[in-house]
Amino acid sequence: MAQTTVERETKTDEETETPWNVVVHNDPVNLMSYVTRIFQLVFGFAKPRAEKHMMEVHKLGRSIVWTGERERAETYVQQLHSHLLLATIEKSR
Amino acid sequence: MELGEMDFLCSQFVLQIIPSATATDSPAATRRLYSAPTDGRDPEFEQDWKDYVHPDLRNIFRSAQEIVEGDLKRFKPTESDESATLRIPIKHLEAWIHTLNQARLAISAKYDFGEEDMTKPLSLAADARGLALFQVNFYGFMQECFLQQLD
Repeated sequence: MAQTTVERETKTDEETETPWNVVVHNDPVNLMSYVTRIFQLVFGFAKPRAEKHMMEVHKLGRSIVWTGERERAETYVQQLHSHLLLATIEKSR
Repeated sequence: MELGEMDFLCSQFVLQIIPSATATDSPAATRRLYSAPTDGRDPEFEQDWKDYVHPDLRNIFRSAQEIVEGDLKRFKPTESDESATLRIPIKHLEAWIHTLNQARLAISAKYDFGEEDMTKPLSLAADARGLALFQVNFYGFMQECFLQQLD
């Protein structure tokens, strides 16, 4: 009887349990008003919260705009890239 | 929406939006438009990103460009025009904002514009880099007008 091999892609505990940050990095070209608008569009932030993150990016060079499970973080980074913001995913410490 | 009283130089910049946004001759521009999701920390994930996410991004960028291209077909300034007027349907503004952003980022990456370039007083320099900086700022002005309209 033929044996069936089930290949299973498993995620390590670290991948599933560690929260991941979505980080937006400073970019001298994107307009501040544009970045604020994209934060509102992608995360549904109210304008003051979107502006707070935009100013953090502008002044500190980066802002953690979301933290949570990896798959969703990847989706957010993809959305931010589709609006041409410099965004990365990193493990939350 | 209308952007009027555009002189010949500005109207030529408007006609350059699509070629600037698709600057395929510049690896720096391509790298900026398709940025890395982990800043090089996870090469395997970044390769997957190139394989699966970049094609989607290309489609999104192209869709916005097509809308702008359609509007530009009706924009035909001539050298004798002292003030050309660009007319854009409000429902196309998102696509314009996006395409202008593609163009600004691609030009800036190509000429390696940094914070200092972007904040210095605007002047129309005769060299290619100076002209490109003016173009980026002009596109920024257009973006700002469109963003205010949507606000």
